[in-house]
Amino acid sequence: MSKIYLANSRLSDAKIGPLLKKFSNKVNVYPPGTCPLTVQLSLLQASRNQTCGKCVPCRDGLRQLEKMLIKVLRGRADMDTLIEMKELAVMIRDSADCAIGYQSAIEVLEGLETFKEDYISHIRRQECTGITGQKIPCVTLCPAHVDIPGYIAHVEEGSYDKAINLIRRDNPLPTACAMICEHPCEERCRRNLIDTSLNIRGVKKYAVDQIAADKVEVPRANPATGKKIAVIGGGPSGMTAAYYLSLMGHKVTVYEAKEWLGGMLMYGIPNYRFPKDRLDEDMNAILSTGNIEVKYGVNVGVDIPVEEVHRSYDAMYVAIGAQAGKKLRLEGIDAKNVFSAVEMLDEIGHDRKPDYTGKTVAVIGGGNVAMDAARSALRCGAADVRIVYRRRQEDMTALDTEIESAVMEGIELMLLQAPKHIEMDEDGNCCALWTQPQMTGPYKNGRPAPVDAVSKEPLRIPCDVILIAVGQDIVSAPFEAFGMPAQRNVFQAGLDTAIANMPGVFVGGDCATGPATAIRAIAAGKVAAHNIDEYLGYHHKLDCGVEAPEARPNNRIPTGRVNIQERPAYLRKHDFEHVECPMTYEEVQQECGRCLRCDVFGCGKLDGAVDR
Amino acid sequence: MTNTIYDITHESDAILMVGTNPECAHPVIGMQIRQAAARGAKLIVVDPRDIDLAKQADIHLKLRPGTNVAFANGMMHIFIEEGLADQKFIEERTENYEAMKEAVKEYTPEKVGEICGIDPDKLREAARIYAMADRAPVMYCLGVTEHHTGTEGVMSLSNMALMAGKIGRPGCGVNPIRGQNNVQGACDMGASPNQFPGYQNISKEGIVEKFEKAWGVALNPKEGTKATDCFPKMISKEIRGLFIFGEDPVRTDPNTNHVIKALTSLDFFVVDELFMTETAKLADVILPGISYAEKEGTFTNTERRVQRIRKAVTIAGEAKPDTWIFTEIMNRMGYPQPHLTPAEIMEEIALVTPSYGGISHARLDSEEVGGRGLQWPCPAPDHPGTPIMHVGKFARGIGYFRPAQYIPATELPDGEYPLTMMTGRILYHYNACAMTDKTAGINEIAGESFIELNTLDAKALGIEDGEKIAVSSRRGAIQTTAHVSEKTRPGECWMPFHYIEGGANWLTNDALDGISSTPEYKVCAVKVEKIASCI
Amino acid sequence: MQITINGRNIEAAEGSTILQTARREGIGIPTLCYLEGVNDIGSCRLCVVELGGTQELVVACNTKVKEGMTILTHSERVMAARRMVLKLLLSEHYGDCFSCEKNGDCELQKYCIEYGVETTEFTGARKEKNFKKKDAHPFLSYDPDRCIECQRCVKTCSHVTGRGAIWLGKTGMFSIIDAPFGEDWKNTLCESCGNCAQACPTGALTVKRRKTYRAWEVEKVRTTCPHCATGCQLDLVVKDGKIVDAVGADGPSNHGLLCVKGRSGSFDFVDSPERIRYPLIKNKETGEFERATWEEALDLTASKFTEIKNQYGGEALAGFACSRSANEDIYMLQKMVRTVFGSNHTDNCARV
Repeated sequence: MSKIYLANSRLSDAKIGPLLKKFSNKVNVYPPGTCPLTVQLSLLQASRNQTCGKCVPCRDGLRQLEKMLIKVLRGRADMDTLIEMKELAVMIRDSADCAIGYQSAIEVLEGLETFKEDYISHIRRQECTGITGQKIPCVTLCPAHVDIPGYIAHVEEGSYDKAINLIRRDNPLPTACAMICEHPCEERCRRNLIDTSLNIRGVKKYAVDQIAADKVEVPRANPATGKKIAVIGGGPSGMTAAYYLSLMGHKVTVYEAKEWLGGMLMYGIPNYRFPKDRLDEDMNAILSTGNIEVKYGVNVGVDIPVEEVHRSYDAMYVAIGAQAGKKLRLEGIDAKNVFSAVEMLDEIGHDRKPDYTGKTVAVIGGGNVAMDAARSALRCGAADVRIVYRRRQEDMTALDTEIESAVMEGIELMLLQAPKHIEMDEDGNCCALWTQPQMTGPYKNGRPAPVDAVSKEPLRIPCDVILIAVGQDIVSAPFEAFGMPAQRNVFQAGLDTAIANMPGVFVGGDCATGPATAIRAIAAGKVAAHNIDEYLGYHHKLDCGVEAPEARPNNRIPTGRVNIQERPAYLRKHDFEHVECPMTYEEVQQECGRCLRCDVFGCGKLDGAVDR
Repeated sequence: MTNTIYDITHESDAILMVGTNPECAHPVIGMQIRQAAARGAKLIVVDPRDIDLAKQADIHLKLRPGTNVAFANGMMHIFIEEGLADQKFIEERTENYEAMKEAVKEYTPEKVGEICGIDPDKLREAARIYAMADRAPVMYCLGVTEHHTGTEGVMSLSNMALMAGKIGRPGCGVNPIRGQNNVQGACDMGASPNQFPGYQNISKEGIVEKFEKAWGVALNPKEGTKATDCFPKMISKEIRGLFIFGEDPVRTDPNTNHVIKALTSLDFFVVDELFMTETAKLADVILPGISYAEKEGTFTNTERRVQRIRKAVTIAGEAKPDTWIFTEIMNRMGYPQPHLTPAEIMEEIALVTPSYGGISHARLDSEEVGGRGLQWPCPAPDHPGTPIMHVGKFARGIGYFRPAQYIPATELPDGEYPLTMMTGRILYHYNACAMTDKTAGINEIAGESFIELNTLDAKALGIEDGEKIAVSSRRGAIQTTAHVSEKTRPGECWMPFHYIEGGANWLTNDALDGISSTPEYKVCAVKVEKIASCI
Repeated sequence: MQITINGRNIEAAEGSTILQTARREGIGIPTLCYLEGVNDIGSCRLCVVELGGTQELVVACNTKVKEGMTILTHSERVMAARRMVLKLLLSEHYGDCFSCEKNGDCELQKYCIEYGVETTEFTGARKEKNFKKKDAHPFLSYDPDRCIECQRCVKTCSHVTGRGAIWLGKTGMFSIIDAPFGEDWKNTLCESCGNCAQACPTGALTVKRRKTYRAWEVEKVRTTCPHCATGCQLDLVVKDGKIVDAVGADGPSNHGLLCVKGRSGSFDFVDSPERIRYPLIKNKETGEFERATWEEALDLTASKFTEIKNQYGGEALAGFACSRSANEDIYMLQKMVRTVFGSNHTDNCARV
């Protein structure tokens, strides 16, 4: 018998690991604006490089598909090329032995459908479709297109006020975004090519921690235009629109149903994630522009008809958010102590904390609201908090960091459990949640759908309180009655936020997208403001008075990303104080130093590299 | 072979190989043994050398050359000691078991370990693997027979198979892998001093008469002399005339000097040959015969399978079919032998040879046989042949244990000739190379003689791998190239015997097996020296 | 079990493949990489068939039959896929048939003709043309230009001969067979048996002497190898009265295999210049052999032996047979010794 050996770490299979990591990073940071066919080509090249060389369709066929695609990209193909590509891809899909072959062919076939216009454009016009060109990743992916490299450079220079003003050029809620933004800007950060993406939110937080937003003077507003605009809803979207409209010189009236501004930032996000006094900094800065009047406690559509508001103003921006908790149809849902998570958080936002001392709380749902509700319940004295979710942890829509924080605070995730019914005691109080265990199954709409695990018995989860966090609803009825179109309560508007055939009516934020992120709501507010100005016949330009500083050379030394630390879980879980710790000067300097200034280097200097 | 190549390689659970290197000597069998090992059959290699198959073997017993009898007796001792003997088989189908038991009593694993130079535990394990396997063949080759106790070696292996009940079933048996293409047939055909075709003993009542009747002539009833015993008789002038058909004893027989002396002592010496061999050079008359590709006929392979050879070409010149030559001589010497075709000769063979009774060229060429040959015994035209022998019943009825005792080789190393030399084949050549050295490519691959030396011995003598060295024995001296490795044990070396230049048989011992008169090719004592030191 | 092939109900054996079942029924399914019992890796995908109830085509060579299977072996989808396979193979197969030693004996060529694939619209993209041939070995050579990477040679060397001397040199896109016939051939595991060449469906891995003849110029004579006692069956390839090659035949002991001696050392000697072609009698004066007529040589032989027999008796004569010759020869030799020499001093080289 010949000897056998352990895997040799010097062999290429072991050494290839870091290379593959680099490869995967590179794929992850494909710059926005890249021609989809070149991405398709990269995918195909990766596929053919993965072939083992055994079977003809994959070994020789993928290389031929690649050649045809290059022919398309070079502008040398004709429409027959697409037919040939399809024939060959179908043959590979049907006759390849393993997934390397057939899956690659399926990708090509899908691409031929998905990017049909791009293929045809390359063949007919020898050009890509529409506007193409690589863009600055962070700026492009920030829905509000904030000048991120610019403000990071200001932070590095120590000019925190300039940083804040530069942010406010596109986003008047720098503090809110410093605290709770989901930072899509970081996703394809070019720094991933070297090490990992920059902690952009962290840098921004450092800036607003150094100087409060309301201590940084806002730009002076334009002379009054005499135009009046109604903004319905004082949340992030509405207040963003109000800010820019006010700076343009329009007279803005904000209708806010509640006692204070901020919407979900105020009443949905618990204090420990976003302290309310910090929210005030943004709101005060916005109000300091001078042309904004807020009508508190006025619920448009209830207290005052929508028509009346519409009639009284030159334009109207509807940004009412998605404030109502979604209901769950479940036997026993009417039991006592079963609440909507949104309502529970709203109560806490109104400083009316429930007392869960010694109680067991079950939270149904897997989104950020579920996490917020669960962690808040814990801070209201609950002895045990369990999150019950019908899919797997990786299927949860909540941010990974939120889930991690919840688990660290001792919250248990009960996964693959579909609520079945709620058990009540004789007094009508809920005493247990019954669930049907699930197993994950085939994909539906892009993610694996759970199905009943038939061989598992239903599970009884004893609990004193149940919080339902399965989504939020939009209270759209009064506006629909007014004539605004909606589908499943979501208002239908164009990408310009205008409603077709309703001149002067604009809509944006959660109420036009369904529950989403603050930054998307902010972006909508910004777009709405500019388009309302346009609608009213102006082309007001706003000047924040700040430019991005000159770029320093790239720091090419791979360096770790500084993450924001949190207070220890055993301490923080007992109070509603902010959980995040401030970054130090050295940390933020190192982090800023990692920025590659894509606004200056590479494609940043090209026309069309920056979206507005 | 009692069994077929197919069943022992494809249907066995374990294979016990003793003194056989099929990868070189019988490469296509070697390939099938590798397949067997790959499919999971256990492999036990008993060989003094690291043959390639030893790498794939579960156990390699690297025993001292010439100690096979001790090995086999040791195996049987362990069968008895550990209750591994097949009692049912022994009771129903054998006799003389008690004597056998008695004979192997002394051969404890420890004692055998000492004789053979092997680990007693490995011997125990080998015994267990072989005996406990449902189907396990013994395969052996010239490493067993080419000793002065070769016959005892063969008997011991047979005893072992009997005791383990591994006879008469597929994937079992005692399987000598015969050397040359038709050595089986040559024995079957009665080219033997004591037997007529089909192993019909001259000494047996009625056999001489049978052939006198068949051939219509009075025959000499006295047993003849074995070839190896003939050479001394040539020197002593008891034999004065010799006809050699296609053999090259100068090259293949041990003690080359002695062979040359014998052949040059003859009064008249005729050779029927294809080439001017070393032996042919000594002849008075050379009669040019033809090769296998120029004639019709049959070969009988090691599994007793009679298969056809067919005429492919005729070559220029006056070479004649060998049967024509013999017929002409018979006629000229007064026996009226008609000229027969090979097919007609086979008809005559079938008439006088019971085991070939059902074999004819017509049948071998028929659809019934389908190119698969016929395995003797095939006594009648409607008999399908016998792939596996001794099924249910032995040829002699009951299997007989023939105990044998270990006797050391005749020439053991001493102060003057300190190394034990073995000989064998390499993959690329066949015997005296008369055929294989006509292919240029083969000579390019393996063109010259060499000797395998153990690293320690080479180091002691200051010999480097690839160095040209001198090798001598009591019978001769040659020069060859040293291949230094761990393939042989310290104190042992190995040489291929194919080459005339640096040929091993200048050195080998012509001591003969007491029964078969096979020379002890496998063991002789030699001395190895650097060339500079012997000038 | 019952299955349906092309609408025909067929009784199939448990455990057999679609290919085996179809071939048994006389339904021709083309294969290139498949070698029964040796290679069923399903790499060429030429044997794809359509299976009722599945979207993908399956390979017939390694898909086992199942009760109730419905199989289409020559549907339009199948034929299109096979033509595509052939075109893809052709695109990476350089060198024209005209100069190839396997012209007329090439399986790729055969199927291209059968499927009407005369050209390919694909141009080679994967392999480098004129990649270095490996042909330093005396008998064997490998030309990557003609290789379709079916791996019949690899599996033959590792699974059939059990040697494992042929491997994949590079995999994936740059797939190439690492045939041990390059400059360092002497330091490889190769035993020169050439079973790989016999397994090669194209002209990529060939026995070099294959160049000397074309398939249609020769006849084959089935015979038994003259070397060891394994009794391998082989075909001598005869062109214009000369043996030009030997190829393995499916005999009971060799199953198509040969060793280096059987394949490359079994025929050069037959018509070697060193053959003795005339009777020779040694001139006692000079010690040199001189050409003689058969009459002279036979008369001398018979008279000398008769003389010795008359003077010293038959016991003074002996005749040895060759263990390499045919049974018929040996029988006649011993008959000669026994009938006319009058002794039983006959033997063969079994002992030596």
